[in-house]
Amino acid sequence: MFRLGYIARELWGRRGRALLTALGLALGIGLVVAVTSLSRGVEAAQEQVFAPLAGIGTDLLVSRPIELGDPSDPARPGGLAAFASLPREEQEALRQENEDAFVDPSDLGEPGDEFAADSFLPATQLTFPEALGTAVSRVPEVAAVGRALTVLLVHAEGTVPEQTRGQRPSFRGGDIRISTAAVAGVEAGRRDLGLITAAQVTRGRFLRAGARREAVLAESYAARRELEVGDSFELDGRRFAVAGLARPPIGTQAADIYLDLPVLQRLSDREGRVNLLLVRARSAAGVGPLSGRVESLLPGIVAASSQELAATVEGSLVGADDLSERLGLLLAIVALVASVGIAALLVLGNVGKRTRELGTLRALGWTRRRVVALVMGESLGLGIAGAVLGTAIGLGAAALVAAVVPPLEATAARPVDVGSLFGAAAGEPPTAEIELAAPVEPGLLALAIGLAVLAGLLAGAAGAVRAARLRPAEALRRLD
Amino acid sequence: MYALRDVTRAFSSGDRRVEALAGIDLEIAAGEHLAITGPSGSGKTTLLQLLGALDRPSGGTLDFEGRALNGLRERDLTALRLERIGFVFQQFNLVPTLSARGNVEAALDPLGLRARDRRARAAERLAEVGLADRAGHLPSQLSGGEQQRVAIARALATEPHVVLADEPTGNLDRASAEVVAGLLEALAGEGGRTVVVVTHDADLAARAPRVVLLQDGRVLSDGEARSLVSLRAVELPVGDVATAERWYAYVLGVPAAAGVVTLGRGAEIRLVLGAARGGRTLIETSDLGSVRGRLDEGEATSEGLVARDPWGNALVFVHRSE
Repeated sequence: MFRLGYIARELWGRRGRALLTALGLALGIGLVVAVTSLSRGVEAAQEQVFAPLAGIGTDLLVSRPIELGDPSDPARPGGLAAFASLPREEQEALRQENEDAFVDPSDLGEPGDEFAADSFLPATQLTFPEALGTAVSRVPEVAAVGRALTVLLVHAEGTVPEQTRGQRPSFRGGDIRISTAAVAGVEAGRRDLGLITAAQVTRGRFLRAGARREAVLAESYAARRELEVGDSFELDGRRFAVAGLARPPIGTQAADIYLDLPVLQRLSDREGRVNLLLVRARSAAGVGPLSGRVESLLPGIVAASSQELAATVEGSLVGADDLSERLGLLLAIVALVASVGIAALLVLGNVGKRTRELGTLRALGWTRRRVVALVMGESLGLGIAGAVLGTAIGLGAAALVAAVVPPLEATAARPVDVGSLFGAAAGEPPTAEIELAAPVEPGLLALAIGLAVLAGLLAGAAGAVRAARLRPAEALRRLD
Repeated sequence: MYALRDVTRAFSSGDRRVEALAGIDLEIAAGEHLAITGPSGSGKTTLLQLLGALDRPSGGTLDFEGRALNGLRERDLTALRLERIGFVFQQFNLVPTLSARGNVEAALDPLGLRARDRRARAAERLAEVGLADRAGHLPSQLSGGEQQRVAIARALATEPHVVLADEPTGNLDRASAEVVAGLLEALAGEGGRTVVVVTHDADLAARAPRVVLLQDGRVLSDGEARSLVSLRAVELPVGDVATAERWYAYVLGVPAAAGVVTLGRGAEIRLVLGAARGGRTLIETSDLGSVRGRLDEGEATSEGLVARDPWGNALVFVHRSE
């Protein structure tokens, strides 16, 4: 206890120098805390983006994209040539599903009449029979299968133009405004497996099974439309209540409006058809082989894993990943080493200045070990002070950076957009703006304290070695 | 208590080997009060450090209470210092961040006493040196004399068998020096305790019944000091011109101090004094009084010579009249 008091008085008595040393350590620790917490923030953001399927309880996303090809590549002609290359029944299915895409303005009313119309176009994939889900669920490695249908809602409103008929019909006048939204049908009864799950609902609640007139909206879409939980909106002439708002993971088939699957199938005239299966494997090891087995069930089927979806993500978040992993870590290490070095020099200088005091203690019968423990104890005290200051600096710096840095952006590239084939704009590809948080968890605090204490002890070791080598006769002789 | 036989201590300084002690033979009995004096560089502090188990001799044997210190391990020397030896330093060497009581407790801490006992013993020691009411003060809040009394309390904390004081009054004013000298004098013989004081101060040395004069790492004289005009005498071998020169230079180098030597009759003294001051004879002498006269013209009387140095310090040269 006496030595604890001695250490405390020594640190307080030389508080200027002690504060300087602790501050040196604190800067290093603060940077480590800031960089680590920011790095974890970036990691958390990446988890949302780079592991989109994990958020919806899925290992594989099964779809049937249309290979549009490349017009410049004769082997992959693309466009209508690609459409013509599809099997007849698929062409027929596409035609049926996309009848809405061909709108005759005369069907909307007389020229000059106000009108509003909703059409459902294919989003990015061809549909396939819902029964495929049953076939997939029979594959031994499959634990569960969820079904979903995604379509593109094209909302047109304005005044009907005047149409001149003839060999080359043309339109005059009229004012048509078109907006689009992605609509997904999910199995309302499944709260943990689907394009969206109950876990992603941020306000309100998830869809109830069998509820025919309710929807969950993506937060961003609700904000655009200024809709809140409890409000209602019109879709193809029917009113839907907003049951909840959700933040769907990007990289999947994120939509703006989520309805119960049968409701959307009826609305979009796609009864009995889906265009996405969400497959959960029995084990992580089984995902690779499972992908091949599922794709063999139907021609044109693609089973994408989480990694494959993550590869389609780009944006500032990816850059932030590099920044936090490389530059941040390097900076933290350099700062930590520098702060330990400076602290070691200060401790060493302090021991040098206290040669008389330490020599006197040795003369009084203090063992070498006791003197070393005194020096190390003081360094430990400095380390603890550095930990407290450093954590405060780190928290402040992390909060400041998180407040100042603009939101990180991640964009999932759309490999194909069938809607564009029929002249409808598909809108922007799914983009997520992720506010960078800097979470400081207990583990990080423990790491900071541990590092500071270690840094203090390392700094003190230099002084302790000097103190240990101190021969009392020499220490006292210098005073003569 | 101490038995030194042909003790040497040499230090290396680059290629040079400096012999601080060149064959010391000394016996110090338990309870004795001893002053070690001599000019700077004569080896006083080195000898004190050997006596204090802070260092080991390069040669010879040094026994303390029947144990040869030469062969003891560092750990044993540390234990010896803790349990048997107390130190008092010229610069006090108090820990500046600890109170007076804390400084005394610092000496007790390695004994592993209970905190209550440690504090009580520290308070007792401070009371013994008259500082009970200053226990909570930091060294910077104490006068030089008080700081040295704290240092004495610290030296006595573990109830050592021997107290070694290195120029204990060197940094004190006359009044404080008197108090500290009195304390050290009182300690000597108290419960068989030995007190060894290294000093330039003739007054302080004179308080010790036995004075050892060192010069060039050797014992120049060792014996009972003789009183004359409030000073004590030490013996200088007759005819040792070179030694006398250094001794005089030493005395002159310490204003306000006086040195005493015993000289045999002889003309050497004139040559010595002349050499010490660039060939000019500085000392006027008379026999025990104010009669002035040039030393080279005067004669040492049967009683001795009294001279004053250029700063007015009295220099008394005593002739032992055997």
